[in-house]
Amino acid sequence: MRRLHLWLIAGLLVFAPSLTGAQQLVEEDLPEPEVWEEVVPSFAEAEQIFNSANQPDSLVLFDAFLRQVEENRVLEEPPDMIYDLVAKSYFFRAQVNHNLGSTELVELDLEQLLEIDPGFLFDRALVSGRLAEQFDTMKKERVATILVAVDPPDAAVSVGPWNTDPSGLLEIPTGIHIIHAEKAGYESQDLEVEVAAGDAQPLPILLERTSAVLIVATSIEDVEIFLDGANRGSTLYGSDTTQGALLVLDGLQPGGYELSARKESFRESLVSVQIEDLLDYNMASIQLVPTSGVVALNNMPPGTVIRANGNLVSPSFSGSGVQVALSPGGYTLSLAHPDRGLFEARVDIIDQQAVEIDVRLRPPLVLLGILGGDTSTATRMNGLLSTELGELGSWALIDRSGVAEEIVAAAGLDVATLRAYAQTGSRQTIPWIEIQKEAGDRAEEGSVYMLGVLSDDLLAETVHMFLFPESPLPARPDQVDLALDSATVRNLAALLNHSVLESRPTLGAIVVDSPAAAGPLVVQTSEGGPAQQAGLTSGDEILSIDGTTVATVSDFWRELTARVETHATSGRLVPLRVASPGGERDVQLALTTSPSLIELGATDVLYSVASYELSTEDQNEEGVVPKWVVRLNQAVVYLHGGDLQGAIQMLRSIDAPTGGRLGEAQVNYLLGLALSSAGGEYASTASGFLTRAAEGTDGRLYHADGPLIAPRAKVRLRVLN
Amino acid sequence: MTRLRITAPSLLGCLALLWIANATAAQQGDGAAERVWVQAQRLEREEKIDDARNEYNLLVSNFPDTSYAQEALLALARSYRSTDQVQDAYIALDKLANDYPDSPRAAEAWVLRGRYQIEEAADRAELDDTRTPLRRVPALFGRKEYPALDARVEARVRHGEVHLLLGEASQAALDFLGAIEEESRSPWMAQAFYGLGRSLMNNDDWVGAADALQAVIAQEDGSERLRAEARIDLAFLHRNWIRPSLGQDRWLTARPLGIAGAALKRPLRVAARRDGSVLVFDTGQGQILHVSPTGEVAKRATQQQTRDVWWSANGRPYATLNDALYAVDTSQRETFTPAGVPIKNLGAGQRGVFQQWVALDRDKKALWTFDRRGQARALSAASDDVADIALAPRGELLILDRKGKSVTRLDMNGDRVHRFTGSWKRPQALASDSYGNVYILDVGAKTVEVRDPEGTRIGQVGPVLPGGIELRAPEDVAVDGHGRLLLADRGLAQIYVLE
Repeated sequence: MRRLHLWLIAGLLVFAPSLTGAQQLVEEDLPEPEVWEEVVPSFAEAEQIFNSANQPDSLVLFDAFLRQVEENRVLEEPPDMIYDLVAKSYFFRAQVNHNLGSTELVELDLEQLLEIDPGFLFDRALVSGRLAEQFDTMKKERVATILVAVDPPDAAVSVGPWNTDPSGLLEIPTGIHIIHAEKAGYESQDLEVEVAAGDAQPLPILLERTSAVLIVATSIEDVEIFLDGANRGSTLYGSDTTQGALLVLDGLQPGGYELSARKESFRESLVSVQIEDLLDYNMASIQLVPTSGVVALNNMPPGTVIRANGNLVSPSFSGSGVQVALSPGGYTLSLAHPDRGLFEARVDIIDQQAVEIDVRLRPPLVLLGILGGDTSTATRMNGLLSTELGELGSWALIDRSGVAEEIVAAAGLDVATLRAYAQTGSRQTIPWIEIQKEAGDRAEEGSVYMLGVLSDDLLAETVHMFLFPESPLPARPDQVDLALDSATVRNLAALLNHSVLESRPTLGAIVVDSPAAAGPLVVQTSEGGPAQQAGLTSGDEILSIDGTTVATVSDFWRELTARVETHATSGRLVPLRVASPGGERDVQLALTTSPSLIELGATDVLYSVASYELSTEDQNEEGVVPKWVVRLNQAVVYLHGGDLQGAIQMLRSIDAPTGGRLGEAQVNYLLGLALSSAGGEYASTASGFLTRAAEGTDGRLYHADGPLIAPRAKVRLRVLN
Repeated sequence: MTRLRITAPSLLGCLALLWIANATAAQQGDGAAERVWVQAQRLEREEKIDDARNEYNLLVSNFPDTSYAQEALLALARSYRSTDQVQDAYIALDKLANDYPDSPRAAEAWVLRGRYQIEEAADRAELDDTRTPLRRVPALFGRKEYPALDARVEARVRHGEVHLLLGEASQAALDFLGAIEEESRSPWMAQAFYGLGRSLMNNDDWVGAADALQAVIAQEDGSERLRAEARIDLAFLHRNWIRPSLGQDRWLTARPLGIAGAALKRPLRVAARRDGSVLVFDTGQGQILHVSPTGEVAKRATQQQTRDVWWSANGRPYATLNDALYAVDTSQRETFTPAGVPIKNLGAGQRGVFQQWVALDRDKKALWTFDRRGQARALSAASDDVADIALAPRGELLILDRKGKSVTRLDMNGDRVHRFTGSWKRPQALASDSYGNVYILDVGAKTVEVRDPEGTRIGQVGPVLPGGIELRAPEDVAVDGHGRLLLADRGLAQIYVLE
């Protein structure tokens, strides 16, 4: 190795004492990266003053800037840009001192400048000719020029902080230097040279090829590259990002290698590499594919908005249905449809695996809160509700506890009034419409709302829970009193899950328990009904169904109901054994089902829930329940709420089938009932509807085997007339 | 025995606690009232009636603004009713209704007043009056302000029952229907369905009646007693409407009345209660037998002087002795002395819907009725030769005139409302079923003729019974709630049940 004299940079010696202090610093004391950005304005300010009429004042500012650099340098090595500013600062200072006639100081400034940047360039048109001359003179004395001819030509050559330019030219201070030449795949060289001022001195360097180089490119950066299992670093974008992020692997000898590219949230990419010679190999860019699993959302209606952990997710539509792709991990999937309600599910996504979810959008049941002073009971009840109602089949429970107080206050009520209403049934006017409106404003996602009042402020044993549907459905609430046990809350859950649009088996006969009969006694059969078609007649006594003895009417209906699923849809006949004065015989009953109405005065129905269900079904154009059945039920809900006008309007909008057991007779009877309650002036109209209801001999009130309408209509008519 | 000793400091402590307790009570009227209420309840349980009433009165006067005052007024009314001080009970109820007109307790007061008046009614007019307090409940406590009020439903149901008793079946049905269709479900629903079934039965709408009665059985919260009543009526409908409408006989078989551990020698009289319980007087043994619906002898009484056996309107077993009416279950005797002269030769007896006694004086050939307070008056329709009397629905009394071969029906006030005759040879006994059909035993023809309430002949049994048994010496006839016919035949030494 040739030896060069190393010329120490005086400026750096200035910083030396501070280095000791830097060694004492612990990691957390280190400055943030922006420390160098903060010093730049100091330079800018000094430069501005330099270019002003107050140029001499800039000296202090340049000194301050250089001091800042000096202080920060103890903590963090400055970037090249700061070195450039330092060089410029010395040059500006030299100009000021030159203008002030401080020759010695000019020389000192230029000396420091050339030590930092031996190749410093400036615009001579802007600088005094004498100063430029002095600079050139000092440079000739202190700076040496080397012309490096390296093989291979693209090898990097540097001396300390100074690199060769594209032509191989390198300006460095005179003296002894170590010249370093390197290139991947080649053995690097360090040459000690002593350079002196004067013309450019040629310096040939020949690097010896010792290994192959593999240039790995990835489609994204920061991909860890493993070669035969050993981590070789991560790819980075260079100045030309079109090639992708690169990592140069050298030191490779000919042979086969297994390369693995890894990055979190992406699938690992494996490539087999074959190195034949000691050459440079450019790999095609490795395209990393994000890891993801698929959630197939079965039965999801169009218009549903999907969120995963609160973030909007766009679904894709394939032939098999709707699906969303998600990175591996745990998610809460929330689906919301403006008409059909909400659905929530927890999913764990595993890469390249599919999860199927049956979407059951459920209307939101919003708990507005439990009012009253006994907060511990309220908290316990909240827990019970969330446990027992959280997994409800038909509803999505949403807890908005806390808004109840605002709602009640906005409606001009207090807890005591609401409690008195719940407990004593005493004459109170509760503005339920106002409460319903407030609930909608404050928890707008609700379909049905729950608002509770504790039975006592000190020691509550019961929560009086009011349930009411969203506006504009009837506001009058259901009141359910809940004790602090799971059983009562489960009863509420059962009521919430109960659909009022269920159908029931149809017999087409009145059967009664007569102790004078051997089994359920057929009193009357309906024209064309299943019983009559099976050959059952009045006076028949039913002994058994399909071999199972039925002693009572209750037994009979239970056995019949149990066969609805197996027989009603398939057309399978139900064998009955019956007794009549002529002896015993078998008949075959073709079981059918028919819709049913909410019974007037029924207490096993939550009218708030029924109201919502019916209203939704009424608007559902694809609903399977006939609209007249839905509306008849809606009329019953109005009647229950004492809203005669609503009931009458609903009934008048019904286009019910005529002539059968269900339909027109029900509408006429309910209209008669509602109108006869509406006041004397409607008596004759009521009478007209009741007359029509009384004329049909087989009309039934609640379902095809329900109470006969005619006797009831006649009773009402007799008194009305 | 453990003896507690209170030391000075602890006594002071107790006094301090007492002072604090009193101070708290003074601040919270409800707390003090509650203590008085608890004390009153305890006294009542200990049957210290007067002391309990004093405490209740204290609540009413000192704590009128607490809910205990209203409870106390109801308790006072019940207490007075239990000691037959019904006027005092009315005062308590009226005070509750007037002082707390908006309280649901006031509705209960009106209902309770109606109930007590019904129990106390001695004639049709008084029964009619009971509707006034009952009507007030739906009028004062509307559904809009009081959406679910059991007292209102009870008022409607009881109002319907009064209508039914007064023979106003349509109005009764409307009351029951209102309770069923216009009110929320309540414990009164089964009772309402039952009333509707009975009303429709009285309106001859037997399909509608069957439908409503079956609904009684289907009510999940209905009582077992009501279900049993509904089944009885359904059996009756089966026998009296369904079978005849299909051209069948009402009674398909005849069997001897099974009595466990007893054999009859010469059964002379028979009576049947609604549930199938039977009273038999066997003159051969001089015994009255009370036989349960399942055939066990519930009571046996030796009374040689028995003239008749019967069930009162409220279902208690009685026998008419020569000179007294005899309660079979308690062995109590009731003698009657109209105008100060005891009746020595009683021919029959009944106790009606107003708990009035009816007695036939064979010597005077007069029929007397005695109200619950012992006031006597002669019944206008009494004839010269009364063979038998029987109670009919709605408090009516049937009188069989042997000589005139007629049946006279008196209303609950004893006024004649109907009379029909028959061409019977020797009519001796009669019975009525729950619908009002009349069964006349003609011992001359050995037949039982069935007439509807209007007197129209609708059937006949005998002298050969279903199954071929020929009557020999029939003496008495009875019908139970199921519509089963019972015939006492001295010659066959048997009671036959036709079903």
